[in-house]
Amino acid sequence: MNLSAAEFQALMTSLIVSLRAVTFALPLAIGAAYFLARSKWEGKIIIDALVLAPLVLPPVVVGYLLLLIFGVRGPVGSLLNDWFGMRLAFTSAGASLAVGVMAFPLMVRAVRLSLEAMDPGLDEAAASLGAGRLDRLINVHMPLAAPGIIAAAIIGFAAGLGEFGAVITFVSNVPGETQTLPLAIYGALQEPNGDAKAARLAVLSLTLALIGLVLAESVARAGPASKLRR
Amino acid sequence: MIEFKFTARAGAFELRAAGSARTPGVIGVFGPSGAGKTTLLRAIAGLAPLASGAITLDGAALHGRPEERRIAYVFQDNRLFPHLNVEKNLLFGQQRAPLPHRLRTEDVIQALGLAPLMARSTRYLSGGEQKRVALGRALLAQPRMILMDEPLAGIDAARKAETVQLIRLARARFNATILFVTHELDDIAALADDLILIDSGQIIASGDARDVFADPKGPLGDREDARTLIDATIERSEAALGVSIMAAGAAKLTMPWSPLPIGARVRLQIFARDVTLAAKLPEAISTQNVLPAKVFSVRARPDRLALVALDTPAGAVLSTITQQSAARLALAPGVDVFALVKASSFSPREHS
Repeated sequence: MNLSAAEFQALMTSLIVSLRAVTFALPLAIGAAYFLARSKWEGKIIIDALVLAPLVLPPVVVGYLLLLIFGVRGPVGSLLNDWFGMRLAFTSAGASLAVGVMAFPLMVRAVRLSLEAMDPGLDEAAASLGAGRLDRLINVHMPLAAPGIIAAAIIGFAAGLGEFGAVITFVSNVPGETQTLPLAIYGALQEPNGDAKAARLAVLSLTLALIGLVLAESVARAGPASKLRR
Repeated sequence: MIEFKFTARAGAFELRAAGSARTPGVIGVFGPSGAGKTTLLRAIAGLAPLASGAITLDGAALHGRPEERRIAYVFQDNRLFPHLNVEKNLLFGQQRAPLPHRLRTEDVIQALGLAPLMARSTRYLSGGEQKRVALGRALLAQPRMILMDEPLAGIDAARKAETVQLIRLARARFNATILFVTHELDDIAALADDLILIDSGQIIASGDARDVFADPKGPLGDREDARTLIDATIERSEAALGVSIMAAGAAKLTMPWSPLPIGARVRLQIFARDVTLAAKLPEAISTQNVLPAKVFSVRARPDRLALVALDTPAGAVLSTITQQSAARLALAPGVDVFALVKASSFSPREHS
C-alpha cells in the first residue's frame, strides 16, 4: 500500500499525538488508579465519576469543554498563553490533551484492576519488613501492577489513535498539526473522489487498532496468572 | 519482657489485653477461634490501632507505623512476594534493617536449609518451603520480635514436626523472641516458654507456661486434658531394661527408653488424669514413678472431678480423681501423699 505524503503525514501526526498523550496521561492515570484503589475516603466516588466522565460524555462535549477551559480566552488557556506563550487550541499539543483526556478513564481502569487484584496482605508483609509507603509503592505495588500499567499504555495509545470528536472540536482539522488518521478520513470523505484515500486510511487505522488490541490482550493475559515470571 | 495493657478494636470486636511474657523466648498464644489471638498479633505489629493503653517491649512502648517497629510477621499464608525470587524475598527485610545486623545471612540460609532454593520463584515452592522462606525473611529483617500466626495449623504431622523444629531453632540458634498463635494446647506444651491465654477478647492468664498450666485455679485446670509441664534432663538410658532416667528438680523420673542423648533436655507433660494418689507408699506395683507429694489445694471442678494440686520434688503436679476418692484419702492442703505416674504415660518432647 503506497501512502501519499499527506497520508503519511496523517499517520505520523496520529502516532505523535497519541504517544505524547500516553506519556503525560499514564503517570496521572497511575496516580488516580492508586488513589481510587486504596483510598478509604467516602468522597472518592466523586473523583471516580470525574475520571470516568469522558467515557460517557459525547466526545464533542469534551472537546467543547476543553475549548472553554484551554482555549486562548479560556481561564487556563489564557494563563498558559500569557505565562509560557503556550497555545493548546488548534495545535498538536492540544490534540494530545484531547486524546489524553478521552483515553484517561480507560487507562485508569486498566491500572486500577491490576492494583485491586493485588493481595492487600503483601502490603502488610512489606510494611512489617520495614518498607515505608513510598518504598512499598515502588518495590511492591508497581511491579505487581506492571501488567496493568503496560496494558493501560497500549489501550491508551490505541484509543488515542482513534479519537475523533474531542480532537476536531478542540483543535480543528489542521493537516500536519492536528489532522490525525480519523480526521484525515473524514477530510477525505468531504473531497470529491476522496473515497480511495479514505479507504486506504481506514485500512491503516484498522491495522494499527488491531495490533494495539492484540498487544493489550496478550499483556493482560500474561498478567494476573503469571505476574512477571522470573 | 513484653507487657500488654491496652484495648484494640477490629470491627465490632474488642480485645482487652493485660498481661506479660518474657523475652527472648518462645511465647505461645492460646485460645479458641475468634478469641482475639490474631488481633493481639496485629496490635503488636501496628497493623491494628490501639484504642487505648500501650504495649511495652523491653521497657519501651511500641508506637508508630508497622514499618517503624521492627517486628516481623510470619503470616499464616506466608505472603511471599510473587514478583521476587526466594533470594530477593529473603533479603527484602534485611536490606531495610538498620545496621549492624545481628544475624548473618549465610547463617540463616544454612540453618533453614534455604541454599538450594535461592534462585527459585516463590510460586513453585511447597508449603513447607514457603514457611521456611517466610521465617528466614522474618529473621533476616533483624526484628526485635517475630510474630507467627497459626504456624502449626492445618498441616500434616511431618510438616508440623518440621515447623516446631524451625521455631526451636530460631530460638536456640538466634536467640529470637517468637510469639506464635495456636489453638492446640499440645503446641504450647511442646514449644512455649511463656503462655498467653485469650478467651472472648480478654487475656485470661499469662506468664511462664509451666506456672499457667500448673495453676490449680487457672482456666486450664478445668480442662479434661489438664496437665503440668516438667523440664528434665536425661541422665542415663538403659537399653536392656528399656528405660531412661531423668533428673527433674530434686527427683529422678523414669520413662520408657528414649533414643535422645545423655544430657538432652526434655519437657515432660504429665496429664492430671494419669496421676494416681496413694496415702501410703504402695508396694509391689508396676508404676515406676512414685513421688512424695504435699497437697497444695483441692477443688471440685465443674465436671465433678476433684482437681488436686501437689508439690513434688520434681515440681508442681496436678491430679484429677473422683471427689469420693478425695474424701476417702481425706485430702486437704498440707496432707502428705504419694503421686504415682506410670513411666509409659510420659510423652517427652525434646526441648532446648
